[in-house]
Amino acid sequence: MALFSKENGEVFKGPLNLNNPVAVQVLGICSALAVTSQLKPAIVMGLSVTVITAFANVIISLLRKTIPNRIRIIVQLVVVAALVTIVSNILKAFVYDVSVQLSVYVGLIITNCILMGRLEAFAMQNGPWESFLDGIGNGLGYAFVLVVVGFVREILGFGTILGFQIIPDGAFMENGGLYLNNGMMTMPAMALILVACFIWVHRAVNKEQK
Amino acid sequence: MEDKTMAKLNTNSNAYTIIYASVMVIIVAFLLAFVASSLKGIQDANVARDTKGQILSSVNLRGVEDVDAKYAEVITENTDGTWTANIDGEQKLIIPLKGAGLWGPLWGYISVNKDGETVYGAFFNHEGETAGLGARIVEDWFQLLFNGKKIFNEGEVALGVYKAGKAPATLSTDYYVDAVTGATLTSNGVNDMIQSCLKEYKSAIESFKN
Repeated sequence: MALFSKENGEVFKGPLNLNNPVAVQVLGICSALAVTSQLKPAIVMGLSVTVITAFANVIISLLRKTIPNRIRIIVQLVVVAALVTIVSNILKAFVYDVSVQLSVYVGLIITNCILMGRLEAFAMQNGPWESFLDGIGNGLGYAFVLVVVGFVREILGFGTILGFQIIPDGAFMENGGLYLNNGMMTMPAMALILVACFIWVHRAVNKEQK
Repeated sequence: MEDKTMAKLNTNSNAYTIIYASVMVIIVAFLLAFVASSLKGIQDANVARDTKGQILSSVNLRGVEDVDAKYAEVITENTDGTWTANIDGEQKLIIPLKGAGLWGPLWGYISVNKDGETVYGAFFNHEGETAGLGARIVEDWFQLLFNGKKIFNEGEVALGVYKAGKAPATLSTDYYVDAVTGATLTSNGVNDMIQSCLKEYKSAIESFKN
């Protein structure tokens, strides 16, 4: 029962790379498209999902022996919805600015398939500590893909990173330079193409381990 | 001991399922009601302060530090739902805007100079427009485009938002701003919102002028 045994390390590290929820299981794609046109919402969304997955995993893991099998999905959904509502209320009360930016993304977390997937596939069979690690690992695995996609889309689509101008003003065509922001990058379709490229690279790198 | 009682409980029986669901829902309902009501005071204060900040933004007082003090100093509320602002001895009429975007409600405030013809400043906000596309209507560069635009053309509300090349050919650029690229539906929403709300408050603008 060592807290940081090799098995627990695998539970945590798996979703970061070889079992990444977005790149390998192809879950949570819808939110990956919706929130990654700029880096900041992508980061905040990634962190929120990490926190909520971890706590929902722990709660479901603690309740797992008492949950009636036929309504287990409903129980999981109620736990997630309650957590998301509480988090969104706390944000609204104490960091109002951030909550205004996040309003729609926080609500989206309820429908994130990674959450339901981890609750059903892991927390229902494992103890609270393992479930906590699994939740953190999957949340960070998801956050990593979002940050990569958000980074590429913001710098190529807007010339900025986290709102700071990276491409110098003089390089733009309207100021006599040669550079033009790529409008395609601001479209949701481009996120899908970038996620596909990410999966391609990820598979090529991890070919031998499969 | 605990395991034995667990083993005796049939977690698949109808009675257990119904009781479990009922108890869970009641607990969650109380928890959420408690969180919501205990944080309501702070949240309402945040919302009120945020609204004051938005009204101040419409008279080009953006990013004010002490919103409450500045609001008390500059803005007076009128009985017909508008506000009057006193900026450096000049009066401006602030008109509330409400409309529909692509994904949810849009709202804003637009301030009119004493001549009753030109826009002094504008502020728009939204609930859930697409990040990086429709959501850009909250950014300063878009709102600043409205400053100095004319509202009435031959007695009718003409101020609008149009895609490049889609504005009525007879309309001079004094009467409209360019839509946000990639956010046609949100831009149309802003256009409809401005036109319908200004029409509604036309008489208020007339009496403000005189």
